Amino acid sequence: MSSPSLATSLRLAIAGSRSDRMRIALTAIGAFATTVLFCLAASVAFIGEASGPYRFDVLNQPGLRPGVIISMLALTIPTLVFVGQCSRFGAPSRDRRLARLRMAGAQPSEVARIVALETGLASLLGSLAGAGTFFIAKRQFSTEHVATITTQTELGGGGIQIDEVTTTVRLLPTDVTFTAWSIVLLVAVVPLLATMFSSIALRKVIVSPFGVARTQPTAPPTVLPAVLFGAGTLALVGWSTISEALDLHRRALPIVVIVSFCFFIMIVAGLITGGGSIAAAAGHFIAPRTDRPSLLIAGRRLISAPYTSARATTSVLLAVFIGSAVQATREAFLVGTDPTDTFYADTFDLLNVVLIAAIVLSAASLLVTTTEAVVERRRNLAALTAAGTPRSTLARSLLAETLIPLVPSVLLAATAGVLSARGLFGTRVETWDPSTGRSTWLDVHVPLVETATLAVGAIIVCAVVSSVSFGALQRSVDVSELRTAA
Amino acid sequence: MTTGHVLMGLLAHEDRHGYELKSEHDVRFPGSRPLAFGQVYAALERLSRKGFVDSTEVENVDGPNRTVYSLTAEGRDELLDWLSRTEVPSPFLTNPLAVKTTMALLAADRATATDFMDRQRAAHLQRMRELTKQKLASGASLSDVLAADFALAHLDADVRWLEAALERIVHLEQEVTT
Amino acid sequence: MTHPGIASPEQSRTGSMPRESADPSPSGSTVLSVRSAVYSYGSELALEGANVSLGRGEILAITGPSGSGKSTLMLVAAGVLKPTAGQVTYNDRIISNENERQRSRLRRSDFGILFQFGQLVPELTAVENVALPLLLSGVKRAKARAAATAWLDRFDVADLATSRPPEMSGGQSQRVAAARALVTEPTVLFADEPTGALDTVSGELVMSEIVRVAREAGTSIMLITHSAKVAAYGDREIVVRDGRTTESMIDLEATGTNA
Ligand SMILES: Nc1ncnc2c1ncn2[C@@H]1O[C@H](COP(=O)(O)OP(=O)(O)O)[C@@H](O)[C@H]1O
Ligand SMILES: [Mg+2]
Repeated sequence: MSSPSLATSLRLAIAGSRSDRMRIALTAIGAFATTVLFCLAASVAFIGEASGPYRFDVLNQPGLRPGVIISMLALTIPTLVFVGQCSRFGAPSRDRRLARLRMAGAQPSEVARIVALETGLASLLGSLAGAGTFFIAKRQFSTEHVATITTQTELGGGGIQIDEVTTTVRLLPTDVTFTAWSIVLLVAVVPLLATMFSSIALRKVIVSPFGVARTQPTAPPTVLPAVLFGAGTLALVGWSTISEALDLHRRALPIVVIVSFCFFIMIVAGLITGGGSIAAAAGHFIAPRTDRPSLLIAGRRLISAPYTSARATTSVLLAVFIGSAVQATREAFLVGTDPTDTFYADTFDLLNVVLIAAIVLSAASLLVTTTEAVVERRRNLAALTAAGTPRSTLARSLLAETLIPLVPSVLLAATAGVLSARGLFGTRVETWDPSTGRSTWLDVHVPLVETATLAVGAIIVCAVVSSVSFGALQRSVDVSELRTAA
Repeated sequence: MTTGHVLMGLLAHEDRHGYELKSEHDVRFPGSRPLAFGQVYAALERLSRKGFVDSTEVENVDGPNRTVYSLTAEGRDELLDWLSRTEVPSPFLTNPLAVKTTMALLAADRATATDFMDRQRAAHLQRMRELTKQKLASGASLSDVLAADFALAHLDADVRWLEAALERIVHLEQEVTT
Repeated sequence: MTHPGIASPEQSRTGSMPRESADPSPSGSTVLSVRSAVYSYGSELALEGANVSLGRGEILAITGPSGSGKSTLMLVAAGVLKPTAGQVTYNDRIISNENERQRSRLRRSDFGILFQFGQLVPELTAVENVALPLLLSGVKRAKARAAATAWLDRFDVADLATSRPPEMSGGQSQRVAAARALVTEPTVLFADEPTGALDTVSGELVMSEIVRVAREAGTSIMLITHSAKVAAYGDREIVVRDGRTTESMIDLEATGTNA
């Protein structure tokens, strides 16, 4: 068989069953969300002298804009991870299709190309839709409003003059202009990254003529994730000490941003690589101790495939981590501000909406993996049911398999998020009281309720999703699975 | 295969006298007809004429002297040569079961034929149950198991042939009626 | 004909106390009976009136060509499927009238089920797989493991206790599966082509172990197979053709066979 033409690869890439279509749809949705976030970040980056003013004050102050851009980019991490992982959700029918291709003489590299092409095409669709939506929305929302904003003017002797000005403002930077090449870049970046991620993710998947095997490292790393996570968190908690030691507060803002972002990435990397370790550790703890069949099965499955459930919840974890950091940052920014002044609050509310969307999107990927896990072992589940295993036991085992590694990971992620934001922005803030003309130090609240809501909410969403996949279980536990050829 | 070859096989490890050879044969091949003494001695006579076995008189204190036979080098060669030759797969299986079933299909109506075949199957299965029990019995020796296996495999082949024959009748009828 | 080491069905039947049964089978007291069972998968009629009665301690072979409805008959008899029409009785219970919850509990407590393959949980070790039915009925971990180990030993696979099914050969995993099906000491063992995926010799070893253990415990077996050789392990045979059952019985005198 000669190497398949592009047309053939394309046809093979998009042919497939319901679960294939679901994976393609999820990839596209992930690409859509990521592209919109990139466009938002770009529009903030394009704010110039002539642009503005905006209702969101952060956008009016050049010094705060890098932070806004960083936050936007941080939010793309869970969505990008999600897009990359979509290609690993190996639906059984796709696996069979790929195995048949190999049987027909296709090289492993050609099969990999087909899979990468599928991811690339799906995310290109999502990307185009995302950019399109963004530019339509940009035009729709470009109307000006009359509002009162504060302006700051630096005075000669180091003081700041704050004025309240009533003027026409825009809600968002809808007045910036995008150059043609930047639009091309924005549309292309997600498909390119997604194709790259999917090639990396698929390196561990071996497509042989007889089927698809996922290589699973038997013992996930325990030291590396712990070190990354611990060091990153500690560094951010002790940020003030570090920045003094390195003399960071005298340096330019970009350096500060880059250094702190590195620690931030360390935590993220720790969470990504540590998910499997937590799953395996929990399995090792539970399986040899429990009397309950559901926990025994869940624990053993966590040990034998620690990454399967961890992979599905990685993006949920990242969203929780970033979300908790955002809640703590919000507290730091809102402390001492006039309660009637909703500018910061509005900004953070906007971020929260994006976060909730990210969590829901991540949970959708969990649905794919849990459903697939059920479908993959349908024969075994049907045999267990025939032998009198109550379906409720099997359902509980599915739920336990999701929740056992998720709960400790979410708690770690939320704690790390809050702690690192508090370390970065301080636990005490100096505010200037206009009535007394003096400055006072105020404690920044720990956003306990908000963070707990976020963490528990994420866990509940995952639990609900996992229960939905039990529907697939009900359908899968079908006696026809028990039939043997003769 | 000749009786001579079988006797040479039994002499391969150990020298024996005629009576021992007979009883050893009957134990080893429980499924086949026991050897007659005459057969054994006639065969041994032929073998020693060809130089395949040697015989020695052994003094017996309380009875007549016995002749003990041993395998010669030529005999060993002949034995190995015989073992290396494949058996001709029997081309003409004149099995009464096959003949009767075919006749039932040709000469009687379908009901009679299937009835005969069903009962034949049941009879086969009954025999197969007995053989299976013999095999599972705790005292069964390897020879017992091998002999039962052989018989079971052949009976199983008969049953499968019967089943296929039944299927063919059904197919044939479907062809005729459609 | 009796053989040392094997209790004949007659012996084992008289050895256990026969319970009252509405419908005694030709071979002693009936544990399970299927009467005029009909089952259809949607519009596909798989059983069109099947009758089976299984005696206490009896090994009953159900044979027939592929697609004749053997597996369906077994699943109906075991209470996995509810017959479209007809009745399934276990001791005094009409299980075809019970709901899935009740039937599931019955399957767990009184029945053992053995399939051709794919019934062991691949992530659990052999001993955990065998202990699973005990854990399900509330037995504590240590006790369940001890019982499971003893059953593995009876099937001569105690050395595999900590192995996982993917590491085992076909014969080994069927022995473990058989140990799991029998660990609750069920009254009836349902086996659908239990040796169908094994080669001749390991198939025979597994079959003879199952028969030996079942005879010792007085367990009845409904043995589904398309092979006469496997059916020969049974005391009696029922042939299924096109969803209907016919008892394969012979009058040895009349046919003139000398057995
Ligand atoms: N889930 C199912 N859906 C539709 N038809 C089925 C299903 N299971 C079995 N059948 C049909 O029912 C008939 C009997 O099947 P089965 O009981 O498996 O037979 P056997 O075990 O003797 O091979 C066959 O014709 C088969 O095609
Ligand atoms: Mg079947």
